[in-house]
Parts: sequence; C-alpha cells; structure tokens
Amino acid sequence: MSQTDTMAAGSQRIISREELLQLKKEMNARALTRRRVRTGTLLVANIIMAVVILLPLLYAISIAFMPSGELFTTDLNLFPKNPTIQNFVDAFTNVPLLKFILNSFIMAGCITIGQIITCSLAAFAFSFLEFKGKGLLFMVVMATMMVPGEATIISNYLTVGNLGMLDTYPVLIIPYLTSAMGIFLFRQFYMTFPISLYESAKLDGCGNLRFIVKILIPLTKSAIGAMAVYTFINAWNMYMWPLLVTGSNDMRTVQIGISMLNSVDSQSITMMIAGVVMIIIPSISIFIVGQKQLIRGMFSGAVKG
Amino acid sequence: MNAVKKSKWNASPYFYLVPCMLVFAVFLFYPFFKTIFLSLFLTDKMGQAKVFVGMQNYMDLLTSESFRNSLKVTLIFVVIVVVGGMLLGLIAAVLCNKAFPGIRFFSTSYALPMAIASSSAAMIFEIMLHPTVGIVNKMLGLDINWLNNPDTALYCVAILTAWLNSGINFLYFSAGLGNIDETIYERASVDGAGSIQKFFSLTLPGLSPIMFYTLVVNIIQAFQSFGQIKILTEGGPDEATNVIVYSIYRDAFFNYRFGSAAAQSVILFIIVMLITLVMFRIEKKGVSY
Amino acid sequence: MSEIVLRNVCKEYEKGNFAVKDFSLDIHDQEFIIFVGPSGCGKSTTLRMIAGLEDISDGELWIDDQLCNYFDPKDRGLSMVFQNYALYPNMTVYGNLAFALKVRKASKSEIDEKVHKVARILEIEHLLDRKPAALSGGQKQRVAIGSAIIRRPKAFLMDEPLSNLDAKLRAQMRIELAKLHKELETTIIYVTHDQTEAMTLGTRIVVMKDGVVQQVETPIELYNHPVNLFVAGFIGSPSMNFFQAHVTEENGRMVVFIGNPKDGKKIYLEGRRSELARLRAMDQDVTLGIRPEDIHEYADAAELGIEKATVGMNVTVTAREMLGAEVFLYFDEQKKTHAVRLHPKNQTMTGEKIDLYFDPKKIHLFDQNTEESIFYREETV
Repeated sequence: MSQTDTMAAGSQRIISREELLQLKKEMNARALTRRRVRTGTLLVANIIMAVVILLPLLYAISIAFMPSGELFTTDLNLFPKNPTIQNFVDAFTNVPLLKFILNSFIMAGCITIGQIITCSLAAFAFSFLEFKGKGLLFMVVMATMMVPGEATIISNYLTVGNLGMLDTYPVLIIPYLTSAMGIFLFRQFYMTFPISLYESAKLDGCGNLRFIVKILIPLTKSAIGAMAVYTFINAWNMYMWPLLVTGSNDMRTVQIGISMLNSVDSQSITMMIAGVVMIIIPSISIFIVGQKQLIRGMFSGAVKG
Repeated sequence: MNAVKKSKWNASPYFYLVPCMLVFAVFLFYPFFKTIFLSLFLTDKMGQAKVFVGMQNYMDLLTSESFRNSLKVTLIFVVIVVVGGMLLGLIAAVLCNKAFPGIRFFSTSYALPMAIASSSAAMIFEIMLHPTVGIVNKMLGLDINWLNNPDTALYCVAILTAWLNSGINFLYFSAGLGNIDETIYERASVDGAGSIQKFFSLTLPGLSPIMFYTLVVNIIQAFQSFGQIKILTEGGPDEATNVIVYSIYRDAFFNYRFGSAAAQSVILFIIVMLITLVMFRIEKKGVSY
Repeated sequence: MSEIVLRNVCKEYEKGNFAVKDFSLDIHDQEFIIFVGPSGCGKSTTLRMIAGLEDISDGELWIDDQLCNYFDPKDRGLSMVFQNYALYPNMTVYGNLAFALKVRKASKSEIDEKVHKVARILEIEHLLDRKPAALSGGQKQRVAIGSAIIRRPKAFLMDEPLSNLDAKLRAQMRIELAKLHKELETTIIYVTHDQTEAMTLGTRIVVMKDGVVQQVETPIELYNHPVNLFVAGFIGSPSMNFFQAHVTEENGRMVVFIGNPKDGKKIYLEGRRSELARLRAMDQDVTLGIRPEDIHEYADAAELGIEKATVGMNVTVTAREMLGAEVFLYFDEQKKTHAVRLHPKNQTMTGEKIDLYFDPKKIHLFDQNTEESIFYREETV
C-alpha cells in the first residue's frame, strides 16, 4: 500500500500545484465554452427552424392586424405600423362567420363523439369477444384504410343527392361516424389488458356495456383523449366533402365559408386573412391543449405495436 | 330457456360491430363498388348510368393527353410532398431530441402545422405568394407571379402541402427517436463514434420502422391533397397542377362526366394500393428487427 | 501500463446535493476494482464520470498522468459494458463487434481477424450473422463483452453487467469474467450491488454509501476487518449479527457484556484488542458484531480453546436451514433474528435450546455514535 502511494504521488509531482490549478482552470473554461457553443448552436438552429415553420402563421397574424392600405407598399412591411382590429370586425360583418363556426363545431363535435362510441364498441368486440369471422371482419376494416376517400366521394355524393340529404347536418356527419384508424388505435390499447380483466368482470355479473362504460373507458382515457383531439382537428379542417354537400350559408362549415372571403378584390386581403386567423384559433387551441394527450395516446401503444 | 340464452350469446358480438359496419357499408363499401360500376358506363347529368361502355372510359383516359399530364403532375407532386414533408419533420425531430431551454415551445411549433386546415393554409400562402404584396417576392426582391406561372405553381402547392404534413411527421419521428435506447448512444461515444457517425449508423436505422410507416401514410395522404389546389390554382395554370384528385373533381362536378371521374377514382385507388403493397413487400425484406 | 487516479472527485447535481463526494482512489494496472454499495450510492455515477458520460463537478481524473476531466469519452481510451448490454439493434453481432474498430477506421482485414478472434474466445462464432433481438440474455452479454474487449483499451468499465442474467448464468459468467481478466491483463472497473460478485471477482473492493467511499480493501481484508458498521453489515451473507453490548473492566480484564450486564452474557478480550477497547470504549455502550461462522457450539468452542473466554449464550432455535455442507440455525435475541453457521452434524431442531459461544478473536466492536470499528487497523499494525 505505502509503495503504491508514492508511485501515484510521483506521477503527479511532475507538475506543481499551481500548474495543476492553472491547467484545470483552462480546461474548465474550454469545456464551458464548448458546451455553450453546442447549446447555442442547437438553440440557433431551432430558432431558425421554428421561424421557417411558423412564418406563414406569424405572417398571417401580422397581416390580420394591418390596415388594408398598409399592405400595398413596395417596402418590406413585416409588422403593422398602426395595428387595427377593423379586419376582424369586417370579416364578421361580411360573412356569417359565427354561423360557420357554429356549424363546424356541431359537425366536428358530433363526428368526434360518434367515432369514439362506434370505435370503442367495435374495438371491444374485436379484442374481448369470440365470434365467427372475427379475423376476416377485422381484415376488412383494416383494408378500408387503403381506400382513398376520393375513390368513394363521387358515389357518396350521388347517394346523398338521391336521398335528398344535401345541405343538412346529417350529411356532413354520418359518413364520418366511424374510422378504421380509431378502431385500430382502441384495439391496440385494449389488447394490452389481460383477457382475465374481462372474465373477472363477467364473473362479477358485469354486462358487456357496463364493462365498456365502467372499466374500459376509464382505463383508456389517454387513447380517447388522443382520438378526440385528432378527430376533432381533422373534422374541423375537412374541406372536400363539405364543399360538395353544402350549398347555403346556413350549413357551410368554416373552411368552405372562409373561402367566400377569398376574392380577387385585393382590398379585402387583410379582412380575409383576419377571417383565416379566426378559424385557425379553435383548432390550434385544441391542439395545444390536447397535444400532450395526443402524443401519449397515439404513440404509447399504437405505433410501437 | 337454455337455447334462447345461447343464441343471444352468439349474436351479441356482432351487435357491437353494427354501428361501424353500417357506416362502412353505406359510405365505403357500397360507394366503392358503385364507383367501379359507374366507371364502366356513360352517365347523365344526375350521375345515372345510361350506356354500358365497358373499358371505354379507361381507354379514353389512358390515351388522353390531359390524363397523362395529370399522372405526371401527381407523381411530381407526391414526390416533393413526401420528401419535403418527411425531411422537415425529421430535421425538426432531430433538433428537438435533446433537452435544452425552450424545447416545449419548439416542439409545439414544429407539430403545429398538423392543426391547420389545407384551405386556411392555402389562403395564407396565396397572400405570401401574391405578386405585388406577397412577402416572398418582397424578401427575395423578385417579381414572379408564382401561382400563375406553370413552371412554379406546382412547386408552390407541393411545398405548402409538405409544410402541412410536416407537423404530424415531426410527431412520428419524435416518437421514433424516443424509442431508441439512450444507452446505445453512450456506448457509441465510448466506442469512439462522432455525432455524424451516430446519426447515420444509429439514429437513421433506429428510425427505420417508423420511417416506413410514415412514408406509407405520407404517400397516401399526398395523393389525396385537394383543398389547397382548389383554392390556389384550380388545377391551372395550363393544367400544371391538375393532380388526379382535382381532375376527378373537375370531371364530375363541372363536366358532369361521372363515368370518367369514376374511372379515374378507380385508377387512383389501384395506384395507391399497388404502392402500399410494394412498400410492404420491401419492408419485409428491409426492416428486420 | 495504465493507471487511473481519482482525486476528490465530486458529482454535484444541484448546489449542495452530492451524488458522489470526494472520491479518491488510485487504480493500478491490471487491477480488478469493484465499486459496490446499495442502489443510489453513487457507484454507477462514478463509473460514468470515469467513462466521460457524466461531467465531473469537482476534483481530478488522471488517466496515465493526463488530466482527463474534460476529455470526450472517445479520447479516454476506455471501453464499457452496459447493464442493458446496449447492443446496436440494427446491426448483426458481427457489426456490433466491429463497430468500435470501424469508427476508428481500422482496415477490413484487421476488423475481420479481430472479430473472429474475439468471437472464438467468447464462443459466439456461430452467432455472428444474427441480430441482437434473436439472442438470449447470456448471448447478448457475451456480445457486449466482446465489443468491449475487441479494442485494447486502457481499462474496461463494467456497469452491473450480470444483473440482467438468471442466477445460474450469472455464476457461470462470473467465472468466465475472472478468467478473462487474467487473459486480457487489463484493468477492470466493475460496478455491482451484488456482494458475491464483489468478493469473488475483485482484487480490491470500494464500498460506497450515499456517495461517500466507506472502505477500499482486498476482499478478505474487507471481510475480516470492516471499517464500520455499514461495511460490516453489507459484506457477507447471511450478514453479520449485531448485538447491543457494553464494554467494561472486570477484575482487571476487559470484558464485553451482551445486552444487560446482569444477564452475565460476556466475552473476555485479550491482548491488543483488550487495550484498544480500554482506550476507545471504556465503560461505553457499543455494537457488537459477529459473523455466523464465528459462533460455535460447545464442542467446537472447546476445540478452539475459547470456551473459557466466553460465557455461552443459551438460546432457542427459531428456524433451521440444512444446506448439506452446512446448517444455519436462527435465534431471536434483543428483538432481532440472528444466524449461526454450524457443521451439519449438529442436530438441534427448531424449538430446542442450544448454548452458543462467540469467538473473542472474531468479534467486532463498533462505536455507537460514529459507527466506526474500535479494532480497525490498529489491531493488525
């Protein structure tokens, strides 16, 4: 022990205490600079990326507050010099924006609730019950994911046209009351529960519906949350179907209604953008509020499996 | 009594499938087959099948200059959208992978485009690309009428779509990065790998399963882009942005040629299905762990 | 020849919150150093600081006379085996083994030769084309070790490499690791919470608790001369028995009373031990520690000649474990259960009484305030 002690000490005696301190200080400073440079680079890269991604939105917000006269200059006018809310007021008075927003809320809300109900029922059957043709039926459901919506949209339009359902709420909602992806997502979640969960509930005299409502739904809150956020945003943003089946201001959704502001009359550009900003706000708010939920639900079980 | 109970037991599973199957049947299976049926007919203005023409609609399409242009335009469009959208998502996900101050803000920003409707985005881009007041021309000091120029219109619409899709791609890639075991990076540092080597030999292969899934979803989605084209270019100028979906819309709802539109829908379906099948075939060989 | 020296190394997560504090150690060439301690004691953190995966908050790390505090992991010339093996999932076993050489731009033929050599040593040649997902735990372990030894590092760092294996494989790998250490002639720094691994593998053991080094010793020294109550209790299985005791003088002889002196359970101290007890614990309450194998029944005590130095403790056996080569008897005393290891010929059954004799040369006394051993070091000097 004593011999090795002097050996170790000997190796260090090559440099004096002061030199050592000096060396440590230098290395410390260098390491600190290096780390700062690394974090700084990452931060700068992120800021650049964020500006690129957010540019359209920031630009839209800026224009929405710009008096329409200010837009028509040749210089680079990134920010409104005299911010105004007149554009928003105009947007509301020029088109029944509130009615559109209400329509969209009704449509997106009903689609969201409907999908959650139909998808959890179907996923329950596919994961807990045994019946003939289960595998085949599930394959059929999954295969529907491959059919692009446009491949069916003409026939659907003709169908609802013949039924005289055009320009009503049901025609906006009913075709979207279920989704293969939702069934898949819920099933992925249900499969993580042991079948004994269902069997013991059954033994306790719990019926299937009760089992779904009292046990499955509380256990899959995160999946339901994710599904709700995702479905609502997609329904809110739907364009082609509402474009085809709505004709009157009473039924138009925001995405269709807002394009009514889209006129060649350049004077109304700022008003149109103000309208766009208004209708982006609900979907973005829901996204920001539900983002955590969405990520946890969509990616914890679904994609991995 | 027993028999009744038993039959009830057997029927009950199907009861839970009724709501979803009903919707699928009426709005997916039936129209799907009806579309195939319609594609074999000439139709009247109400979409009623009138004259059976067999494969004539398909033959007409495949020999039509306009449809071949549509195919070409769609292909270019899809490639730009998929590559651009995935690249944006991937870069954002890699930038946002390590913890640093402000990461919450940045990751929300990167995912944000997924919450924006194609129509809203299209209207914003319309102003950005406006020849006189648009920010793009002002910043670049150019005077280009982006959306009215056949050389640039398609790229503009494609880049907009790539931007829209980058949000969800970012989420997919972030989830994929999160699934990569952190310690293999530690081992790689001790083994002597630099950050570029780590990216190419660990990160990219580690992302490959999710990359594949994202690729398939992106391709399918890109084929279906409609709103932005309807608002920004309406297929023009000079059919430069007349992707198949828009061509279907125009044929059916402007020209009332439902038969031809249906045939195009079927072709679109076949293309998407073939690509998906080929991708899955490749995946079975390529991504194997 | 490589030497790793740690001088007052600290890891401070927040101000005043130390994960590791003043860790000082000289690790010589070809040593097999074990960091052992309960979870959260800072042993892994220390290892990761040596590897360069964690920053060193304070203190110095010297590798071969170079101050390495701020070197990148790759420039420290070390290799590491991780607890979860950290195999690259997208590469074959071959690719995993070759990776460290490949990134260092070794030639193809050199890589190929070394990979096959290592695979032969570890008997994984037939697995070279497999992906890690297709390997068993033991095979993954071998690949992880193989990827570490394929280079000639200055030292191997191993972070609980055997903890994910089942008991049988663990015992087997333990023996192979010891063999490997001899063959490789390289320093190994090994973290474990398993004291069997520590005792069997280490040339020296560092026992840690709450980020502070308790004792650095060879396994046998550590076992026989624990520096404090913690080390005494942590090393050994079943662990050391502890009793409340009192040191006093009786008719000129130093004596330790177990429990209440009135009970008369006492042990006489001799020689140097007696002097140390007088010096450091006179008339004090102490904790007495004794290992299960240092408690004897009468016949053995008589053979050892200790029956006169200690008064037999008459206890009731509460449990009996017959292990073939040895038998463990358990008894309750001072509201705690204690163990005795006896020859299997002993036939005392559960519920029966037995007289037990403590070997006075093997007892440990610990100060009740500092928890430090009263006999430590001085005794052997």
